[in-house]
Amino acid sequence: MKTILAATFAAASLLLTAQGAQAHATFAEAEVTQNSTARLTLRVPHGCEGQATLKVRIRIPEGIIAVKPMPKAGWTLETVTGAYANSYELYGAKVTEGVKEIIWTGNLPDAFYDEFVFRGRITDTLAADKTVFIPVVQDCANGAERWIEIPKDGQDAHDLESPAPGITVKKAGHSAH
Amino acid sequence: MPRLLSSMLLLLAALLPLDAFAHAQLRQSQPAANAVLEAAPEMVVLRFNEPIAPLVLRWITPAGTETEVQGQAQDETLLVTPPADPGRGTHLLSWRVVSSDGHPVGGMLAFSIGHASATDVGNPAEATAWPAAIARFTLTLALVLAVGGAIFRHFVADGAASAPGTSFLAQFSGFAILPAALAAIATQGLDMQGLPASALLTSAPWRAGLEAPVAVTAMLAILAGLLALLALRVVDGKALPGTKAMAGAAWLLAAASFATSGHATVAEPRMLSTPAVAAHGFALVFWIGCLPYLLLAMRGERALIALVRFSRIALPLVVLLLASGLGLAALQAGSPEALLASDYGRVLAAKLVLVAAMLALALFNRFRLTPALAGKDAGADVALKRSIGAEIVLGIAVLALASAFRLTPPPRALADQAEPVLMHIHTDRLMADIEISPGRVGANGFSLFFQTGDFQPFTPQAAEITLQRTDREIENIRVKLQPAEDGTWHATALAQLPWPGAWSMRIAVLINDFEVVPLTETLFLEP
Repeated sequence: MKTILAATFAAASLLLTAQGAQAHATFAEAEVTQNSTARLTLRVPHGCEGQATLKVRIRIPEGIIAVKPMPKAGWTLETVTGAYANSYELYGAKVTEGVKEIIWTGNLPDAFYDEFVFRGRITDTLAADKTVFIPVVQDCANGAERWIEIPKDGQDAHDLESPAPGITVKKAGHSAH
Repeated sequence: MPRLLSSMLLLLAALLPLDAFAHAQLRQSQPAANAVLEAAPEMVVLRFNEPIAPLVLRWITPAGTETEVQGQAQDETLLVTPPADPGRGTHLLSWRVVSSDGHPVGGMLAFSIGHASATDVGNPAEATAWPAAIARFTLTLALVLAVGGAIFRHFVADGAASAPGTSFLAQFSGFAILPAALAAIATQGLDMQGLPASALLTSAPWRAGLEAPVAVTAMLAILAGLLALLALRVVDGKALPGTKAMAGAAWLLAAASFATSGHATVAEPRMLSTPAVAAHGFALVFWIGCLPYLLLAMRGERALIALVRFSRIALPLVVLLLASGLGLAALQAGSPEALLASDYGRVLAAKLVLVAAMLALALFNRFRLTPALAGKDAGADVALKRSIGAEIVLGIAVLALASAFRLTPPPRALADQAEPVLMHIHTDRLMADIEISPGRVGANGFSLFFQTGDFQPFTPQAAEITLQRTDREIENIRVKLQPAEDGTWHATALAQLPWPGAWSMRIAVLINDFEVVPLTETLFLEP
């Protein structure tokens, strides 16, 4: 009896977690660690009110440095470099500027789903156990889908209509290299 | 057991909210947003991008009444049945549906039948205002007659036994005050909420009416009536001790009851207008209130004495009446032209004509007919009775017209109403000056001007307003904004706001591609 019940619960929970159709732009990774390099995968589930996405732009927030986007077949890749607000140490060298914005230009019909990947170093300027929000804009032929709302302290991101995708920052486990 | 527990925990974990939710999107609606239809639609159709199921559907009529309506989902389409006989004007459909994986999505669809609702800037004489005016007239009449009876007994007839019919009239009026007062409160509540008469069975109009100033008036009227009834009691043909003081107190309370509600009481400056209304009430309670008893006294032997005493007290009170009345008219009108041009002015003019006629009759009584009666002229008493009778009819007509003021806003109030609501939101980064016109229930236009936190010119990339009611379960109303050449931002369409009170307003200002600054403030809408 207990085994059957357990199996049913397990199956049910599997089914529930297997629900697809997450309609906000989010990152596949739930958390990143300070002082480590992370791979961040942006999931774009739909276009702008039924229109195809022609551009995906990500603004790199302060605290993420040495960003390298992954090129996509069929898409043009550009980056915008800018100065960082703080100065960081990376492998002994001082870093004061880097990629601040990534732009992929192409065509993603509304009916399809795609992922956009970049890699970056999470510095310890980003506080541990807090969420870092990365604003994302999808440009379409006649408008844009802007995932740029950042919740204020105490406000729940789920209450916002177009929240910027967020990732939890975890404390550095052991010294990174 | 531990295995069961862990599986349950797994299930529970799976049920916790996912990081992101699916949401359906409205693709198309029939009627389209802000469309103006010739006739009420048979069905409202909402088309989404994925299958949905309806959760809550509320229909809001131009009058502000909310009803739940039924909707039928057919895959991605939702068919909503409108209520029977929706009426002309701008309607709102607050819809909330659930997407295929459980996340709710909502919106507000606005469209008009026949014509877009014009905001009531000036004429509140809708179907619900008339019953309130009639109820108020009934209360005033009952109060004036009841207190008038007590005043006549103690101040004119000197506490002596009164002519037949006097007690009956006074007591009947006194007992009528309570139901009239309740009717006044209830009809005021119905008018405030725009509800039909059937709503009297619910508590809504009563609660609303009790919050209105007329509730204080009603309370004072009931007290005055009670004192008047007590003051009328006689034992063995003689008035009881202390009843004269009670009659006096009833008189003062009745005067005060006029000063607690109505347009005239709130005319600026209030230090002048409120006492003026009280004085006006004091005088009219005597004049109109005592006339019927004077007429009844004509039959008795003490007719002449009553006439003389009445005139003696009436003279200074009539002067007080005219002075306070003219003063109030001046405060209300603002200017003579404004007075004649408005509905209020026309009602006031009619009232003044009737008062002048009453005055003429009163003077005729005093200087021609009273001496004639004293001189025992033939037919003098008949003429006097007719004259007083005519005065009474005119007096009742004057009270009716005074109750009709309720249906017309004075020019002063019209001037106030024409001014839009101005708001200013100031944060470190951004400042917004907002103008909402007319700032009352109904269709409202929005006009905004933005600056940086330190008063530098600023043009946002885009801006949108969302209005929310926390006290009602309806979806947010979105107002899209468009820039004009002069740098101001205007709403692309008028927003229909069906209820007065506090609206939570949020302006989302897009300052660059990646940043949006929300400005929030509470908007208080006048009814």
